[in-house]
Amino acid sequence: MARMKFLCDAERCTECNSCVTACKNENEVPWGINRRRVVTINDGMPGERSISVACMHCSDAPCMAVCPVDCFYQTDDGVVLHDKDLCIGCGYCFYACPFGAPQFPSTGVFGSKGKMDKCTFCNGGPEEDHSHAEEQKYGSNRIAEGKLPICAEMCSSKALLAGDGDEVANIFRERGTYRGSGAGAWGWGTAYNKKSI
Amino acid sequence: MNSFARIFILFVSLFGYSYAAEKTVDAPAYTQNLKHLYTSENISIKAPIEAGYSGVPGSKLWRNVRSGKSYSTQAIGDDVGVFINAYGEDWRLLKNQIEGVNLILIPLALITVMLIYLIFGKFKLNKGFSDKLVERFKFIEMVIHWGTAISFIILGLTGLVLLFGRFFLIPLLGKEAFATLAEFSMDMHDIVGPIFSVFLIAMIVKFIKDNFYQKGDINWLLSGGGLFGKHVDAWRFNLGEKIWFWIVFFVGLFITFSGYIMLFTGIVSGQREVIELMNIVHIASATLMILGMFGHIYMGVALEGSMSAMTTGKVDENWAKDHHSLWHKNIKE
Ligand code: HEM
Ligand code: SF4
Ligand code: SF4
Repeated sequence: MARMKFLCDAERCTECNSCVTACKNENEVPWGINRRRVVTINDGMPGERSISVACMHCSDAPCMAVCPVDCFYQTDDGVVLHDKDLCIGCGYCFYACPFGAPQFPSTGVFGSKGKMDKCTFCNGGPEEDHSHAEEQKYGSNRIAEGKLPICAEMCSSKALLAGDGDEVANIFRERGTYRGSGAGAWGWGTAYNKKSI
Repeated sequence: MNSFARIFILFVSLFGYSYAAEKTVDAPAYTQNLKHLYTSENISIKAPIEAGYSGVPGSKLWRNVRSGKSYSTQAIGDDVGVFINAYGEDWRLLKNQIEGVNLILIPLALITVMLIYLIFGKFKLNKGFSDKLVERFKFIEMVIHWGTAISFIILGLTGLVLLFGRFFLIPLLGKEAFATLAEFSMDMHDIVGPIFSVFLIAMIVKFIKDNFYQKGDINWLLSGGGLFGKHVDAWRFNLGEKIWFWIVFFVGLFITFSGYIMLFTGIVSGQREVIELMNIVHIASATLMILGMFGHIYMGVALEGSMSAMTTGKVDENWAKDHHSLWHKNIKE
């Protein structure tokens, strides 16, 4: 059984926001909802690093534990999904989630924040696969078609990886061994016009 | 790739990696090098080090990721620049703990109060009813009291539905029906909250002047508040009632303050941590007030002749003599 994982390679991500755009387009994500976002540390300075963040589909997910109406469930692939018909928009999942993944249509001051929306690993929701209702509420269901999330597929530098945890780890490990790191990385000397230290 | 090639690559790259590492671990020398590279005055030499770019990217970078600080991003929304919500899990665990304590304290308090009622029964008036009535509360004071009480009970019930419904009501009602109830509870809580706060403040203003320490109050406490038969002199409010007033005063203001902050989310960015804190303050103070309320209701029910003070505003003269002798003497004069 696969255990789905995302991994963003901080040494590769160029903050091009392709993943964000692809996700928005594939899932028709409304304005103001960030299912995926790219955050940059030390923007414009030496040592800048970007990482693409979304729901990480935690094994022991805090959102699942905290939800007062118990509307989350985890698929056999380890993808964390939720039922928008049950959600009351209390926002607790957002306060508990380590990655700020849950998003809300209304940031209004009073009452419910509306139905929570978050990354589904392109795996839809509790409705029947590829039904109109599923598409309206949760966006596409690529997993049901045997495909992986669109964000990783569209990543221009292949920094963002998605798929079975073991495979993702293997790819990343192999990459790491090839390229080295820091000033020992291949091409460092050329890039900085210096002999590799 | 066959396994021989894999091992070969691994071996060669391990060798290369350790060679590179050995060359770069010397941090001060490396920083000197960087100083050469980035001579522009605008760029602080600290930047590469802060980024964790000391040859072996990693620890510092990931520490920054974990720090909960906000960095740059193209996204627009609440806390979008923050990688990791640094205190979310602390909040959740603390909330769980308070829930656990609640589950023990609230039933325990209920049982205690009921046991006391069963054992001691009603506290009868010394000389029975005299049928002479004394005014104890004005109409406006009763409106304020019941406004506070009713909105408090609604808030307590709806709050507890949100807090414990998942464990007790979902097995009974099923998820769909409970979701409807939870949504209704949340809306009610959000609407009644501000109403409660208005009554609370009115009550504080109305009753505060009779709730400061008055001469002799300590005797009331020392003789056990009259629980053991003998009545003790007291002013309009005895020390027990005064303590309850000040609990309502402080805890009530905590509840109101934290409640309003939670209501007005979406106004401040970086709100997440504030709300996590306020939620804890809110639940903890709500617990205290619910516990105190049990005692308060017990007093109204167990002391014969008390209830009419808040239903008609008048009490029997003998009740006044028994429980609030100093106050009674005062208004007679
Ligand atoms: C000024 C008064 C109050 C305001 C503005 C207020 C507001 C809030 C808000 C905004 C929440 C977050 C959940 C939600 O959105 O519904 C909440 C939760 C809660 N409130 Fe209040 N509240 C007030 C008074 C009270 C009182 C008097 C009690 C108890 C007697 C109470 C008990 C609770 C409890 C137990 C929760 C926790 C629900 C949970 O965490 O699952 N509140 N309140
Ligand atoms: S929403 Fe947050 S807590 Fe829930 S699975 Fe996704 S990353 Fe984990
Ligand atoms: S916002 Fe919805 S999904 Fe999130 S904790 Fe509240 S009810 Fe559950």
